Amino acid sequence: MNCEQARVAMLEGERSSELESHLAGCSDCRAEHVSLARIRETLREPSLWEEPPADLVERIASLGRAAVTAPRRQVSPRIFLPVTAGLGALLVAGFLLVSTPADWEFDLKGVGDGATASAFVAGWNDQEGTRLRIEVDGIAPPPPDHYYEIWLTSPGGLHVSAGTFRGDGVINASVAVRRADFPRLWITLESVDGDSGPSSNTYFDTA
Amino acid sequence: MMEPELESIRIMRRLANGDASAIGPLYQQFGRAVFTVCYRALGDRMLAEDATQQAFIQAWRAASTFDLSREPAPWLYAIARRAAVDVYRKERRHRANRIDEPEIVALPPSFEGMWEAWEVRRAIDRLGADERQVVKLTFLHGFTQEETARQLGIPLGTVKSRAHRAHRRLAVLLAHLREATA
Repeated sequence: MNCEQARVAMLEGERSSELESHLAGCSDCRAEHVSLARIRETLREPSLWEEPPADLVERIASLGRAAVTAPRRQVSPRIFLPVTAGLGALLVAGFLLVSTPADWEFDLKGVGDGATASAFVAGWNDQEGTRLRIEVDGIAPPPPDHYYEIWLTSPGGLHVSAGTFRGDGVINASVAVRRADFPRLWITLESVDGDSGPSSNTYFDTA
Repeated sequence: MMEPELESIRIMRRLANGDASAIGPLYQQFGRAVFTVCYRALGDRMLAEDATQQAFIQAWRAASTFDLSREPAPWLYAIARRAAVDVYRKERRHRANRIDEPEIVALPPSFEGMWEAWEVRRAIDRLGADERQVVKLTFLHGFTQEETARQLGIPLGTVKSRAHRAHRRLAVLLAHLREATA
């Protein structure tokens, strides 16, 4: 029995004296014994043999065409509230948000370099404005001298910053405007350049 | 026939260039493996379908940023995992708000052995249909070769030769997994 025959025999679960004798003299095949046993276990798993529905590819093609060809939102003109810095939200860790059901929640759409990442937003309307909890997953750490920034934008193109962060995780924020007046919520990559408005490097946007 | 790796890079290039018809061939190459990862992680067919759908749409949208000098399989695998996690989180939040329904997805997805499952699924998809059938009956259903022959209504010798051919091919296709762990 040669090595190839021994490996096939191990995959088949054979326990012949011929195989035992090959294994006794072949350290390479002995080393593969465990991984081949694991492959055998994997082959027994029902989930491995589950078939996706036949029409799934059609659904993907149809949804994908809509998602990929939909016009991207353009970055609004740079009109800023003069008080952005003052109103700009504060990142506050440890809000007791989870105890109250959110008033609204949705997934942000990954855009550009954020296309394969995900972000889920839950929001609470209160007398002070809006509280946000954003779960971000799958974005790369920002380059040196860069950070991510959360924006709320009104239909008229006024931007209010809801805070900054540096990567995956849960971000709790508070901003002194109402979501009803600033419905677009989006996230950009910003550089430390003194420009207080949003850059055109959008990572996430409201779908 | 073109090697699957070269073929998948060719498909990615088409997708990156905006050729929407390339999503079908990409699904043919990876659809079952993506579904396996999602189903194994989520344990629910409907959720796995959602996650598979999400994974391919994300891959489609990100195709233009894909590095064509690399193999698409690990990239797509990572997207599939992330899609499964996203669907799990969404489902968990949804369930948390509906106390009248029992939790279907109780535990976070475990990805232990997931890459191996992905590779094994891709390998069995590359077997011929008759070989795959024999492997499925023996491994999944635990049939002996005699039972497999009866079930399929074919001679025992045919089952033995198909099984041997399939196992030899699987041993070759999965050699990299053995090398990685040996």
